[in-house]
Amino acid sequence: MSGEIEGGQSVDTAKAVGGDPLMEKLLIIDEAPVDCPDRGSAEGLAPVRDLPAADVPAIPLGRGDRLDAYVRRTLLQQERAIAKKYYEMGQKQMWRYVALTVVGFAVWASLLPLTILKIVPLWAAFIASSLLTTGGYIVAHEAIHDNMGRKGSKGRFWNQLVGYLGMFPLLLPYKIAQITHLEHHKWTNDPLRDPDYPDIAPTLPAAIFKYWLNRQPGKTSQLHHIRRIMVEEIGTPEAKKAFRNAILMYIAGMFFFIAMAQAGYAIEVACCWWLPRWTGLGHIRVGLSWEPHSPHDDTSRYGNTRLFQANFYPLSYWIEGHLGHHLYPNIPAHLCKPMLAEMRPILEQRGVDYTHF
Amino acid sequence: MESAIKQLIYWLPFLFGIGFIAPLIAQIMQVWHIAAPFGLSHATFGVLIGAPWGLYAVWRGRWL
Repeated sequence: MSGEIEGGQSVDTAKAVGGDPLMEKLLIIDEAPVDCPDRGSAEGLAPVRDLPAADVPAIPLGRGDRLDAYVRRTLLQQERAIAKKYYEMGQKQMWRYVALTVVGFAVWASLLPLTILKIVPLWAAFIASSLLTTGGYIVAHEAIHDNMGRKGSKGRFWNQLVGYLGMFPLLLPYKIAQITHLEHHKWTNDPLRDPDYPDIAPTLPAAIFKYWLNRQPGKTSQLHHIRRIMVEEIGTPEAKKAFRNAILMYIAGMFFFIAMAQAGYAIEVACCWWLPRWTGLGHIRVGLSWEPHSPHDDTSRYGNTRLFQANFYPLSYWIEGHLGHHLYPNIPAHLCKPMLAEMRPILEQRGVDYTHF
Repeated sequence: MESAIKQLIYWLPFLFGIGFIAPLIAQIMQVWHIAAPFGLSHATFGVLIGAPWGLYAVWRGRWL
């Protein structure tokens, strides 16, 4: 899916977004101000490629933050033109996420009664539920970014349905997932403001241990970090309510597990929900959060997410294209990787390292 | 209300140990035909493991 970007092609932003208000809003993430702190990975100066002869600067400019404002703007316009293409492509395919959610949730919800009735073996229920729990987050993540329908649009009902159903197996209300995830986009890799920052770890085994540590009931719990962000940093009534509801849903979930165990179905509920929730959360925290943002030391637009070969492939759920998602959150997950391939000539000039793509 | 929820969250590992871990241990022993030591019933043995484990999690803030 790689494609050469025509050199120096000046694409007007408004024209590039085709008048779509959502795209206009989204694509103003980075208007490339002159002092934009973009990351540059190349130490030496390198000429800016693909510019028509007349537009090549007299003094060779480097990559990343060494690009001048004109070049950055031109690159951004080219980036946006490609993003627009994938956005339109994605909008025609979002019904698949809705269908997957409805079917996936129905299968997930049926696992517990089917294991109690001994129709489905426990090991099969555990594997299916683990995969569906992570999958639920993947589809709900699209809903978090309103990719199935913005407020007031025809698809809004389906968007919200996907969000609520997808998050349910994790015992996490959709609302808090939405608020914390949007904060993560806003403050990626910021130690104090990024809700996902506690995932930081130097190696994969350390990341797995950190995941376990973050889920312990005491002082190491990630809950304290989330509470501080929701209640103190954001502090809106909506954020406080979302945090309270998250706590109540967690307590309700634990009491459901206790009730099922007391009724004699401890193994069944453990295999269908309790353990899959642990493995699903681990898969999300380590494979989908720690891995793309490791080593968590760069907060810039082009540097806060890396390009890599996922450890969890083929269960990586397209996370290899996560940089594309952070650049353009309204492009669905399955299209981010081909979009990044097409953006390669542009993003390399921005300093993005494609070595492991 | 808020302090009640805080207390509930604080003691939740103990409640979970006694309410979920204990019957889970008992059921696993039953399914795998493992006899409880000292002539104890599966349920009693489960509580003897689950309750202290939950208390440990409350005390230390970690399950392990």
